[in-house]
Amino acid sequence: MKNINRRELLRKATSLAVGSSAFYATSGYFQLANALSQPEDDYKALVCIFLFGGNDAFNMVVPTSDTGYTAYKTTRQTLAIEQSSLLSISPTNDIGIPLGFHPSMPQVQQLFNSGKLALLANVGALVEPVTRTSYQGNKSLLPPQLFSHNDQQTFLQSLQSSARRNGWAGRAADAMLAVNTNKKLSMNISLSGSNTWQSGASVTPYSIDAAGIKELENFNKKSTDARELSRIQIYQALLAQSQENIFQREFARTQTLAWELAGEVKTALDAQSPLQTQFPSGNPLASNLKMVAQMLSARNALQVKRQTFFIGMGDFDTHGDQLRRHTLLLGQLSSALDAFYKATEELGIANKVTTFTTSDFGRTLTSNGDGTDHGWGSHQMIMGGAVNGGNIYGQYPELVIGGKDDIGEGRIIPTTSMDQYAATLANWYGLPANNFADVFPNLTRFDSTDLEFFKV
Amino acid sequence: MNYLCELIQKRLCMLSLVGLSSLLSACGGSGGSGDDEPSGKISSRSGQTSSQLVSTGASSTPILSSSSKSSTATLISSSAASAKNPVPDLTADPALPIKGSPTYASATDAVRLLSQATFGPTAKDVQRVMQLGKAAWLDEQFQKPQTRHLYLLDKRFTEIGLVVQPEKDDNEEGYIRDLQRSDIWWEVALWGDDQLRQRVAYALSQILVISNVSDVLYNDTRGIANYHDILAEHAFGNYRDLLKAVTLNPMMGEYLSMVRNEKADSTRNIRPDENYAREIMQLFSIGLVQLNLDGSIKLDAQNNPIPTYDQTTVKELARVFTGWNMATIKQWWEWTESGASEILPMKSFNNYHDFGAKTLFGDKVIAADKTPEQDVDAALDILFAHANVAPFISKQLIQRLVNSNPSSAYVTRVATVFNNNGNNVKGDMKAVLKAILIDEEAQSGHVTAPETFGKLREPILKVSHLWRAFKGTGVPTKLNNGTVTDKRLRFYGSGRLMGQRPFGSNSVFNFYRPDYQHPGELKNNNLNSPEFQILTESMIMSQISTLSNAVFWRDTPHDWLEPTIEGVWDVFSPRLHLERERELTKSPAELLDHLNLLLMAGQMSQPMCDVILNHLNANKVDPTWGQEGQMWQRDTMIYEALFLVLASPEYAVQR
Repeated sequence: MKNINRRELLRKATSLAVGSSAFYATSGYFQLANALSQPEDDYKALVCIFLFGGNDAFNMVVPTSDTGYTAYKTTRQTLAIEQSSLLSISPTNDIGIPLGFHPSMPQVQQLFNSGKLALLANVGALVEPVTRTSYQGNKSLLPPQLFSHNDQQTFLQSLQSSARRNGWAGRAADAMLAVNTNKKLSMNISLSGSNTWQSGASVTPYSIDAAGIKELENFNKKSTDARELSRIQIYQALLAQSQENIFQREFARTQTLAWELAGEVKTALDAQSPLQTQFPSGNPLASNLKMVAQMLSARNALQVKRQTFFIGMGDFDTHGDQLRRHTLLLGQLSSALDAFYKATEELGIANKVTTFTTSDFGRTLTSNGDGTDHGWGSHQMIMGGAVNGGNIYGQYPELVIGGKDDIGEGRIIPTTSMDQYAATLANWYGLPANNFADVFPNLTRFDSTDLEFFKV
Repeated sequence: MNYLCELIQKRLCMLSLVGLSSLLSACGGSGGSGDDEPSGKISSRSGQTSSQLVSTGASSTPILSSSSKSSTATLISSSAASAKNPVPDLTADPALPIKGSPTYASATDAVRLLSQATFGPTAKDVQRVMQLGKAAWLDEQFQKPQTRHLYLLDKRFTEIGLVVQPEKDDNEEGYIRDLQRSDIWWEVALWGDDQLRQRVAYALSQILVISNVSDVLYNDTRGIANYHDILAEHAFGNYRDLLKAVTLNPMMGEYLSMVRNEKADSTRNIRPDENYAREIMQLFSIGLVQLNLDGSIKLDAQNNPIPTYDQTTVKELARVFTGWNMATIKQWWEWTESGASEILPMKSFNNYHDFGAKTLFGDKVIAADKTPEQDVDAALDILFAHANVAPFISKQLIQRLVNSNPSSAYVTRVATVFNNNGNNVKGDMKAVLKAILIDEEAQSGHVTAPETFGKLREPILKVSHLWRAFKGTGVPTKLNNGTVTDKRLRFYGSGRLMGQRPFGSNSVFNFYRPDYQHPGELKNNNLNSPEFQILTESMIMSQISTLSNAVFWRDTPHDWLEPTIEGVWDVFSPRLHLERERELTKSPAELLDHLNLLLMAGQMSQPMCDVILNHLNANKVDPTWGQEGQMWQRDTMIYEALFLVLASPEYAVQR
């Protein structure tokens, strides 16, 4: 039912927009007006954890039944996780295949079983649905440069195949500029620097880092040293000068904004009481998520109602030494997710924050002896109080070499597209319906446009 | 009163210095897609199971010399002693031409060349270029003996009482060892005589990337130093030889998992690792899509880019790169942590090599039954013969040295020389470098295209520029056991503080992509701006603070400047030597002109000059103050001027 409504709306939006730009404008206006008229505590955040390198989700979630496990073990051989060590989960929806998490992820198992976390099976970069036959016959429209790290990262973040792309969270923020009272602070905050996902036509991400907001040293605006105060004025004057060269102009713009925002954001953060939730140490993802939680605590002071956060976690490109490296990574991911969920509970906004993972691609089911190579479809996690957790969404693939989803060496064709995954997230986030066609350019090629992993 | 003021300033400065340094042991950088510091305190990998034991001997000896496509490439390990030790030169600088004098233009030209071709102009180098002319200066640089990191690193290990080649990895000591390697990197960059070679090696380290941010190369300190030496050696050799040296290098072997890569084995259901096969094509040689000679993307009839290879070629090439392992082991399954294994080229094991025929790009066949090394050579020949190599590599070298958006004519000129140096040799690096640096666009792009010419200065190059031009030298430090070391400078923390550390990028995709277009005006104008990819709001703040701390009160030879710093700290900010600048404080205008020439090749705009000059004039030396007070005023004037230039938007761009 929900799907049909959404699709109807999309169809209307696209078809009417051709004939009437007025509809477009009106519709957008109403959506934004709705968002603006929400009560004070109307707040939603999307937190994207990008697992750089290509997470081997086929070792993160593994069949536990004897038949399922045997098929997996036959394929994975020395890279297979021991059957007895898998952490069983009990999904509310029966997909017919008993599954367990990697042994280094007890917190995630707990989050799943308590309904705070859902799994989306075999999702990936697609322009249109692909079958083994259509792929082998070169009959499918495909994302550019499958299996290449940076191209797949860019596609999953942009959902565009053209040469000059921007990101879907960037385009969403472009469309929702009116929602946040604070016009200086970008709706999109990155803990991991520049990224395509959060860059739109006009919106660019604001970068912070886990160590906190840095002020300029030797530029204390409250200094009693006349020389320092004068230095501040001189530097401001230099930044304000008109620049002939475009790179100089961009440097001046970035420095000016960074300087202004550092003061404002730091003031807002300093006014909040410290978080009680303990985050694991020696875990960069946890440090970044802790910083996100601190930003969340300052949401009212910062006068924002919608925010996205981007965090990259590296080193998932496990071509070699996979068993050891992947165990460490998944362990960090699991404990960091757990702490972050608890922090959102502490802040009383667990149902206003949705955290999701994505990654370059999945990995081959077959092994190269010591690791796995670049694949395609993969499983992802969605966590938050608004998520209808404890369920597995999408279609669980056949983990068989030469099976119906395998294009070779166990590179599995995704059965759900990133557009569908992202559109579901954006629908919860409140992206106006008439923006879906622009933000999710491939969406209409797929049957279902909302995967329904949120509570109604 | 004045004197008191000075003391307070010093105290404050010391406090901020200590504060800065104490940060590092507590935090590990910006996290996310990678932390700056190696994350591992890893234990050694468990050896592979003995069921894989298959007795085999080495099928070929390690390859020490390159394939000699050009005659220049030979192993020069014995030449270490002939390179000058990199030590700071504190002798007085020559006076540089002043604005308006007849030789001023030639001085600004020299500064521009030195910004492109070295780790930063110095007054002495400016004079040298002016004496010799650009081409002859390049020729002189081509003749300079190579300063070798590994040689210096091993010497340093001995000096501070570490074993040069430990038999086993020690994870605590591993970090200390890597600090030494980084120290050597900076000493060579700042004081090495072979500036062009080292700068090009640094550029190559951003194309043929290895990194110890992930734990794959943790404890491989000597190997990374040696890898740098290989880049520096072939910087003046042939690109084909460089490709082979990198392919068989054990650090690259570990980083992109070619080491221990086995042929397919159906009983164990394994097939060759595709990592190196994919990345050598995508990043080190031909790129993803077909290019025209001018570096632009070729389009098919439907206006789509044409991929250079498909998955089949990746799989075939992966078979080529099978059967290689560390040179110091006797059996394939052996695990080694020996320091020697980090240095020697990998060696081949016949039993693990796929001897079948391979077909690349659909029609380039490598016949069956070649040795593993013959296979590698055949494959590299095929890659190297590809028409993409010249524009792909030429354009990236231009971007690292000169200009983010070289014109198609510029790329064409350089790529043409890459394809043929005039003597029918492809890949002659000296010819390519000359073509890049003597090109009319490199020399006058700032005049012909002032709005778009240039590149954002890399953080590393900003700092090296400061420390070269103003004679940064080390400070004494204290080890944990109380020993005071020789003067050291250290900037291992550059990743944390400025967003860039040599051999410290987050992945094989370097700190930034060559085609990165910063969202906003740059992207709207379809302009590449690689270095902007790491100029985030948080990092620009940290960069400016770091620069200010590297300038203010850094030329004061008093005790307070020499803090007791434990051996594991990752920054020892150098002392500067500002004798010449102190003389110039008599006239703020002359001081600013001097900084304008040495830092900005005389390109400072009048409005910028006016604003800074007002500030300096308002803080002139007051002759009624006592001697100490006047000294303090002179110093602060230099710090103010130097820092404001370094932090300015105009200096931010090399053009």
